[in-house]
Amino acid sequence: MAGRAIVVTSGKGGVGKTTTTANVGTGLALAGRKVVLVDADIGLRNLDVVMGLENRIVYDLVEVIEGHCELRKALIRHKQLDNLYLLPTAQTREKDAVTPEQMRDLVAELREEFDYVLIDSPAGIEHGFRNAIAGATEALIVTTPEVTAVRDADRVIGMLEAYDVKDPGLIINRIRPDMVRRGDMLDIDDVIDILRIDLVGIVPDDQDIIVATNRGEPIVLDQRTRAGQAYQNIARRIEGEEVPFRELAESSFVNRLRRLVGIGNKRRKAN
Amino acid sequence: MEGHEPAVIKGDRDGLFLVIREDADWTAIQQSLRKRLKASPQFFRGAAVRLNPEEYQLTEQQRASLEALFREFGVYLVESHRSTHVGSAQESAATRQSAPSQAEILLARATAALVERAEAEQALAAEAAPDLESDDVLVKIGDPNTLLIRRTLRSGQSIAFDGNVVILGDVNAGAVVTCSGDIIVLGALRGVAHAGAEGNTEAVVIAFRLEPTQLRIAGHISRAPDGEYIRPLGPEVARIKDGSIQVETYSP
Repeated sequence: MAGRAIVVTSGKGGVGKTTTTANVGTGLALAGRKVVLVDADIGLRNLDVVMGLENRIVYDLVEVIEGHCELRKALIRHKQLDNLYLLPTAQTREKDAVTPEQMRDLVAELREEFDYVLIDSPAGIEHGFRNAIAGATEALIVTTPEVTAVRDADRVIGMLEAYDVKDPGLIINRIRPDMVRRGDMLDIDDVIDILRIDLVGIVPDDQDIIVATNRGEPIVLDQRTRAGQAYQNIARRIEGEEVPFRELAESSFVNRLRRLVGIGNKRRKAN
Repeated sequence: MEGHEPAVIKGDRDGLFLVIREDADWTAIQQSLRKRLKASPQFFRGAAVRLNPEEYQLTEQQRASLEALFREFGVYLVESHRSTHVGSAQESAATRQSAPSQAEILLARATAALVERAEAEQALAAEAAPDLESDDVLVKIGDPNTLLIRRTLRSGQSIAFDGNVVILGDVNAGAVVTCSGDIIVLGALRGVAHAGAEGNTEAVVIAFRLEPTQLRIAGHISRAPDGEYIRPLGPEVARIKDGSIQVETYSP
């Protein structure tokens, strides 16, 4: 049976598509699935850096598509997980180096071999976006609780419908409970109210992510962090498991506690 | 100005129709039509234009070339034996406001309106085209002047329709609904809505949650007030009152 091809996309740049791809993919691999991460952001190669595999790149996606090397040879195995692979993209080429048809064929070939093909999409809704979604059967929409990001996510969901990628899952990234509480940030309900698609995960804004990203180790490998747990939960939900949104319960519990205590200041000092 | 053109697309209460000056040169006719269609492709896309074969003696070839030209702009050429001469000579396309349109146009436009991309658009238009031939299909639509949309309109999607529009879903910010009649949203209206777009000042906009970026009715424009935002509690209706757009609680 062919594996699932999931494109990770957002419209807006800088909301965490690449980090999400890396962590959700690694999370699925930790669960024992055979996973390949495809970097479709031709010309802005990043996924390899986040995965800590940059120095192992010999061949890339464009070379595979152009027939310069076998697909097998371009796949890079992860350092720790031997069921996790990366297909890096080209840094010296541009988006129009490949066509949506070629991407479709490539992803179809990968689906034969892997349980999950996770495709990291570039920002924007142009040629690169169409390439990224060409072979996908499912989609994960990444957004942050900002009006602009949600607007772009909405646009992308509409476009996915037109390309027959139905019922995308939503990941709300970089939630900052303190800002939501103050009303400075859209809360989860606001985002879902606008986009009306199924919530797959909530990832808190966590400084550890930046540290992990710079080190080239997906944070999901560190289950002591809140973000790491959030990504693991997303992987489990994609696998079909019913995982309660503890991210929500936790913050509302803290909320209630805070209300009981009176104000937030005291507690912040206590921290 | 129009009178000197070798070919004109006019409108009457039944929709759009083609008027050709019979003494004109065939190439000039085609050029003139192309120019007209190019000038407002959004307006014409998905529309049906009537041609009365009894009034014009066109050769097979001429007819085919007209069809090809119209198809290029997503317009359907339909044969109609209704006279297009009576009372239409002075009318311009702009006077079509609030007139009930021909069901054919509605069907064609309804199908074409939703589509975001040219490819998908073409596929849909091809699907809808055979229906234009049969009158039976049209009876099932119910009120032929209303377009029903069973989905949410997302940012970047737009609808233009000659008649009323009812949306079973939301209209998100960044989406645009334009129509000559009323707009009713059974959900949240957050985008831009233009009712009575062809000058009907009686048109209304109704939504379960009326929180639009901008509201337009006929020639009037209003926008959400700056600053503190108050979420409406129930259905509201916007209409023109005392020369400006006013919003009040909707009570049937």
